[in-house]
Amino acid sequence: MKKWFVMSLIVALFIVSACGGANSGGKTGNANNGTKAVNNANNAGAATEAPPAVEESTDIVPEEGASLLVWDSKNQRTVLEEIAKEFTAKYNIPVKIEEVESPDQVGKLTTDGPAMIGADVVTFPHDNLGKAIAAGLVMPNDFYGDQTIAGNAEAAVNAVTVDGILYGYPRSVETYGLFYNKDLVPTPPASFEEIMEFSKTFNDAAAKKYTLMWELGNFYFNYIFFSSTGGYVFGSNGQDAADIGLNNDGAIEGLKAYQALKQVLPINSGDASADIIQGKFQDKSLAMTITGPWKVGDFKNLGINFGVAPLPTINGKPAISFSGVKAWYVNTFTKYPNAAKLFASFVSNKENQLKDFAATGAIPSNKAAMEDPSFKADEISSAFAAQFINSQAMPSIPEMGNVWTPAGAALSDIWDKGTDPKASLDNAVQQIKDANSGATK
Amino acid sequence: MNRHRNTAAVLSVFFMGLGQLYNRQYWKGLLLLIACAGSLGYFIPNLVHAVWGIVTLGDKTGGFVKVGKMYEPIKGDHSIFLLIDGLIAIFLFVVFLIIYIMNIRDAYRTGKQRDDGGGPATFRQTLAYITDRKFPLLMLAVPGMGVLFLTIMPIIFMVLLSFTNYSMPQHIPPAKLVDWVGFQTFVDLLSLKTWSRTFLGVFTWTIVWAVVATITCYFGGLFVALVIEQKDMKFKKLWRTIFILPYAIPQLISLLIMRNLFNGEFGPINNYLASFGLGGLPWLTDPFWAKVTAIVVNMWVGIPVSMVLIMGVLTAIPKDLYEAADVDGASAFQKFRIVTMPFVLFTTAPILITQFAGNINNFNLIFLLTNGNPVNGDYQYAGSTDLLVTWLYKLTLNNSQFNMASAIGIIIFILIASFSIINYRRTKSFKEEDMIQ
Amino acid sequence: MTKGLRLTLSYLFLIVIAVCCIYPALWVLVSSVRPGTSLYSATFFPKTITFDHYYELFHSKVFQYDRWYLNTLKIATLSMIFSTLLSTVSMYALSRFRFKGRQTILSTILVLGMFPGFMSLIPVYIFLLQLNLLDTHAAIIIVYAAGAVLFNGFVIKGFFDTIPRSLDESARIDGASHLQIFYRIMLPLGRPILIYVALTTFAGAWVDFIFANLVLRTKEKWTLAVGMWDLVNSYQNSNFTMFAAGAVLIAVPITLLFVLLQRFLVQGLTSGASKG
Repeated sequence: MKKWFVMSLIVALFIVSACGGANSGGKTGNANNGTKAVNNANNAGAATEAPPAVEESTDIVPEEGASLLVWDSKNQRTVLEEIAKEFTAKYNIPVKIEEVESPDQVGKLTTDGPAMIGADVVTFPHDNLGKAIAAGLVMPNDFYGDQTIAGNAEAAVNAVTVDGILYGYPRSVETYGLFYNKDLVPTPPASFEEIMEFSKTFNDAAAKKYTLMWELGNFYFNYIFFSSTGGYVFGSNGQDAADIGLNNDGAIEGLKAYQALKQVLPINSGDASADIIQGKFQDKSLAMTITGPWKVGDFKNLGINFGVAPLPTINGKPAISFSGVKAWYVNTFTKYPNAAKLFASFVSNKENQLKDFAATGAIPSNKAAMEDPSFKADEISSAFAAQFINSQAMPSIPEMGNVWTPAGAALSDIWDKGTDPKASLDNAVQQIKDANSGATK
Repeated sequence: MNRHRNTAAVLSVFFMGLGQLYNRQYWKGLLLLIACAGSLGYFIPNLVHAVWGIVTLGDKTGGFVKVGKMYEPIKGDHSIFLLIDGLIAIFLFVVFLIIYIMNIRDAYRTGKQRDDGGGPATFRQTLAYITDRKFPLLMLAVPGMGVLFLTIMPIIFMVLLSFTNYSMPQHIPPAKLVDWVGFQTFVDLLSLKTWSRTFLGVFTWTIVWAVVATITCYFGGLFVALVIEQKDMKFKKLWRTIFILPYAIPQLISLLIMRNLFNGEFGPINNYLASFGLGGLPWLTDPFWAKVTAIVVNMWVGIPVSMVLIMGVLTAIPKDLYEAADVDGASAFQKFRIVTMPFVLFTTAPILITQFAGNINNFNLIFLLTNGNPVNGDYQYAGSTDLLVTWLYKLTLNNSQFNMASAIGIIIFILIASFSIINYRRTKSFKEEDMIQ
Repeated sequence: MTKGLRLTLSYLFLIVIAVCCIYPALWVLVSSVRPGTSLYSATFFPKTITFDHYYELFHSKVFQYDRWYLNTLKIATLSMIFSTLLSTVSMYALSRFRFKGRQTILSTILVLGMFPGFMSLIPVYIFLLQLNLLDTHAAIIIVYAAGAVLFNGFVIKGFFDTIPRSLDESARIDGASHLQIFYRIMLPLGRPILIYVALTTFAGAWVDFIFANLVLRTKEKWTLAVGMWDLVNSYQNSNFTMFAAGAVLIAVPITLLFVLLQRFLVQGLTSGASKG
């Protein structure tokens, strides 16, 4: 006698199918939008802008009634709000800002982009670009391409170009340098040998006073020990995933120098966390650290009397750091591609890069901005700019994602357990290869 | 005379609700008709597409075409959306089919009732019948729907995913399609050395962890409870209140704090050890000590629960058992061994099992305390203290190796599920269940 | 062993445990009034005390603590109501009625409760997307309520099993309907377990950062746990003292609730244990 039970499930089904029905309408609608977009909506835009080469300096025509959502890191918020306000005043396009830390943006865009709820304009370090392109998340920088190429440093443009297609609108470049407390270290050391020398008088194990501390297990900062003496991540300027140079003779030589630094910093790699470094740098129980321009604001707020210098030499060779290029990108799935491109171009122009620099210390990628007196007068930024010359852009191919963990693990092994650099690096390279081949299968 | 029953049933096969209308149950028939029409309106365009989506996982990749200077995006198929949309549609269809079958049976039975000379039930009677005789199913329908779509559908999705190549960097939609690859993922997990080595290592530690963590918490709790429950102890309530603190403080907070307390160089714990003239320990940075730390911190979190539990059980031990033991002249220890221990063990055995299963999946503790660290050079995407669950989390959320993560997820799931089912079937409550009736 | 020695040792032992229990809580409290942003400090008690971090919680433009507090309160209260209701009603059905498939349902609940929740993140995300529910508080409440049925089911059923069936049978004879029996007999008698379930689901909404992070996509919608997790997790902006201040304001009410209602916790945990 199940007959009456029918009724109860009917009610449930009713609700569900009602939702489903509404939703199926939405879905077909989307699909239509997708195909139509190719046929007309955007073509209309392209048609009116048909001879863009002639109208080089004019702006793209944004969609009627467009509004934009932009993701950016927390510490950029104030300055970005200001820029967005000007943008809205000029083009009458409202802009909403949401905070998403830049390294997390590709991850979030992977789910939110295709779901049509992602930001229209996003920003992330260029080493995530390969991943974003592999998933088809960002649009090429087409309309403003020539302008971007002409205006920005070549290294920055190359970093946001993949397979000959320009994707990004560069906003800043970054690398790391040697931060030193001016009260403790009058002149910054030029080499790691000098640091060892200095530590003999400064280090005090009982009081936990150390000369130099940096994130020991983080491959990003420790790349200098690979590259300066001849190691590299991927061959052919970071494009050839089959050629891994993390365990060649140069890298092993550099890592021996890294291992020797344990005299200066006799702690385990896991204990040198960013938080502790900041705490110790603040209370003067740490004289120097290696970190990037994003820390400048924090350190200033804490009232630390510090300076920045290019990184010390390793075995007499200048330290070659990783550099990153932060750029703006337009989400493939944006409803307003033209307005988004307009914003990405606006926010990355010379004036706004300088504003960003003034507020957060971000080093501009725009050539004219780099020549600007307000930038050149800044002592800290010039030090980063000097280090930038001796830097290599992080590889942006997706296989780069397979490098961080094994390389970090090898660093910890070499530092904590004192293992032979060659064995650890061979092991790490094997893991990267396995991960790459497993992924390409 | 079976004219009515056959006619009604056939009519209901033809379209939901028709048989009921024929049986002169107009309200019910009308409601069913509308429900059926609505459902068909959803299924006709969607079901074929759903099946196509699951079978092919899409056939058109997204990308760009260059139009003049501009790039136009082309919308491709998103394999994962297709897979989940397909699953949702099929699940809904199964629910619909069940209802359809019930509708036919209902029409048949009402028809039979009429054939036998009775009248059809009125709408009011129908409602009364449901709320009375079919009450349990009615009550379970809503949570059932929730569970169906928020738990069962995801599990099936996970199982399906392990037979695809959904992983970074070559098979991430929408730019690339995902394909069915059969058992390849499982073969890789077992045959590729870096994967199988990590799997074995993490698996072994997970089991060791679960056993040790469960035992330490249980007996730690038992001991504390026994100490407090001594007859001549004072402030029993105060002690219990203090000891319940670690359980009450949200783990998100307490574990992140612990991470700092145990910092090898600068954490207060090592500082205290140093001030007593003892060397510090690499609590979180040495693979062995990090495991010890995880277990110690887990005791901190877990003992209060066991303590509260065992204190409850202790008060429930019948007094006459002790009196009988006294008469026999038993010592305090003998009383504990003969009366207390068996009673406590007997009543709490089931929760030991649940705690064991819970510890295998103790995501919060490891994730928040060590995050799997210290890193292990021999492992693929895992650290020395990673449990299977936290490894799985890293594989999906940080490294986008979804297919491998699903394969591992299935293994964990089968393990825990079979373990708990076997135990559940053996418990008293299961066996005695139907005697109550 | 003499009685005196045994008692002294016992008290000593309890005091040591008590220190272990209280110390971390005290550490958070102290950290929340320490100047600067770093949890690391050379001394336990800071030289100066500041309430800036508390002030900052409510006045920072970036950190919308007050908004998240209200969100969390709302989500926690509603999901507490719905999950308590859903799980007690369904467990009443499973405890009191015998029907085909009942054992299967019970076993299924048991097994599903073991499923590692975040494996369902992607499908749940897309499912909610299809229902247009992403980034709504309703969605997270649904997710919590559905989860609670699996999570608390056995504890409730265990408790309901102990309520004598003669009570509902006599009510039945008096002509009460099932729903009447449920709220006149089961709910009042099941009060301890009701409070236990309500308390745990209420607290759950304050600490879950995985599902909340998945469902609530924009900052305005976040719960405290997501905000706090973000605060610690975002690498370049670690601010541990503010985290401590926020943690104190979360932990204090929850801890008080647990301590005040501990009687029910004992009953809840015990009934879950003995009835497996």
